[in-house]
Amino acid sequence: MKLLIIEDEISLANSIISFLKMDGHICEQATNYKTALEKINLYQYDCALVDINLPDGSGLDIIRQLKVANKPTGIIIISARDTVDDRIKGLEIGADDYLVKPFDLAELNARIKSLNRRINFSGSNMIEAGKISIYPDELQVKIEGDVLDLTKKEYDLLLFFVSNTNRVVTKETIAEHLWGDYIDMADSYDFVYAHIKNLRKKLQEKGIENYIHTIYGLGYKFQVL
Amino acid sequence: MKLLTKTTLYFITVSLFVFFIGGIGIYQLIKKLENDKVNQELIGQMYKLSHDLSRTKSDLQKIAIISSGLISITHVHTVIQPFVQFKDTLMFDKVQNQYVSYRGLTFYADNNKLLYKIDIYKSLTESNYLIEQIAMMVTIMVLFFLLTVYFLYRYFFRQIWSDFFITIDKINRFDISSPEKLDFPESMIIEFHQLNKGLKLMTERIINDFQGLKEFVGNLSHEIQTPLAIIKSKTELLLQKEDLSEHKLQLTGEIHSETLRLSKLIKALTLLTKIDNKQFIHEENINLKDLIIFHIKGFEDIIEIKEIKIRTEILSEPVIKMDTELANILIVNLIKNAIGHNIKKGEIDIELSKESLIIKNSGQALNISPEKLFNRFSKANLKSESLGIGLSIVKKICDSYDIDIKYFYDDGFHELILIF
Repeated sequence: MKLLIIEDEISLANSIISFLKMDGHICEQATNYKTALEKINLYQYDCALVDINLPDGSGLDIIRQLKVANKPTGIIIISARDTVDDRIKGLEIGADDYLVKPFDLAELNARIKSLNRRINFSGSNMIEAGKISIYPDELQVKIEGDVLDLTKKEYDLLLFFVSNTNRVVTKETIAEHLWGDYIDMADSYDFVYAHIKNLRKKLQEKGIENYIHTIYGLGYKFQVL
Repeated sequence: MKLLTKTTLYFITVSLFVFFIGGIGIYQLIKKLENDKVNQELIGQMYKLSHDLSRTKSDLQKIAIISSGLISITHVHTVIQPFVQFKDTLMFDKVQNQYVSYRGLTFYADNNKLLYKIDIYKSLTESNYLIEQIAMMVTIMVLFFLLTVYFLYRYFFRQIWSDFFITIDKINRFDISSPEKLDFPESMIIEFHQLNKGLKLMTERIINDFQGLKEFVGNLSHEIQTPLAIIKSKTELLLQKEDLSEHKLQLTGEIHSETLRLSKLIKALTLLTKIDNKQFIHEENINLKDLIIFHIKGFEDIIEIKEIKIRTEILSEPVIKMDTELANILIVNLIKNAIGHNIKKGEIDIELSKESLIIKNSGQALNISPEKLFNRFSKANLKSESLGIGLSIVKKICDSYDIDIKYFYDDGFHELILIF
């Protein structure tokens, strides 16, 4: 996947790029409006991460440009502005997703992948992780052809893990992903633990062990051995 | 009390007092003048009588007849002091058929042979009548004067103070969140002009400060969240390092988790300030029932994991005018609070009626006083990771929509009642 990161905070952009590169994506960087505009006019990207507040312009104008040029680029706004107005405005002019800073890189990664699937795959859509096959269109999971019966939250959790394969994700990141504002941080560990326990059990029943590793006190890592 | 009423009352009180004292003074003065006049006449008559008597040889009756007014002459042997004496008396008047007041003068005179005591009287009817007339005239004039002045005063009062009332009206309608500056009319009265000038400067400053604060809050959130995003992303990258020892992983995880806490805290504080600043203005008719049902669904699996029994009783479907975002935050925080401060296998009862929303949940009694419950950062239990800010957000939202919120604890149940 080819990505363009439009973010004036170079340090943050570097983190994002390092994290995304772990999956072998090609990442390019633009730290201002002018460069960003040049790049989107010259090259084709699968996905663009756009910060709204740029030193020499608004990220919203870049999105408009992308839309005018009718490019099949997925657009995710990354902004510190979190009012409903800002979100609605961003989505109205054509952004596909809106992520409020400070976000988790794992969350960003999952959103990019989900967006990429929505845009680039038509028809049968399938994600594979070892023996697990996920069919996002049908919200279904199969283990070697066998349907795995999961609740909505367990499905979300598994998809999140698969999107972040080989990465350590903290329990807070998982809690934020699954419940957002519904959860009090104080309780997050219990709730995440409860869901992981169930998911593990269901995977175990289908003969899958050791895919979800616990990192004590911190979080989990999904690994296909 | 209105300014006009108050000054009118003062005016009337002072006027009545002054005219009352003045009236008495004038009455006494006129009375004294009339008295002096009568006395002078009596004395004049006395000299004439004494003079006449000294020249008369015998006929006293003649003298009595030629002298005007009432007269009585008595023959005496000695003079009883004082020689001359005034007196007031009442005598019956046959014509008027009533007692009439007279002023009398007693004196002694002789015609070289005999000594006489002479009483002469003068009717006071005329002078009393005069005094009455004057008193009436004065009273009428005073009343007329008072009425004229009263109405003129009201008229001028309105004229003079009109600029002041316009100023008051403008201040009353002053809305801090509207960027429109207050424009006061030019006043010809120096004091009002100064007042308007001062108010104009003041309100402009308040508006500027308020706008500044609004911008500051917006920027603060933005400026802090960006470095936080960097810290968070760096720790996340660190977590991916294969060669990190378990201890270092733990430390990194803690930094990551605290960053999240800090960013949530700033979001919550920014929210409180925004509510204070009345920055939520998208008011819509909110169906509370739909909102509650929707959010309970969002909490579904959390409630399930905590094995909480939730009962929802909808007696009515109240619709209230609120900002959509705030209404959502309100309901989410209320339910989150009822779950967070619950016990395992506890209960939550939600009752929605036409005028109230009652949320009851089982839980241990507070170890802080209920009055402090809605304060920022007051934590009812020892969960140190909880922000302790949820209920102060609830309170602030309620306050900004005039929703009354009350807390009770009874028999192992926390109860929050919202009356709208």
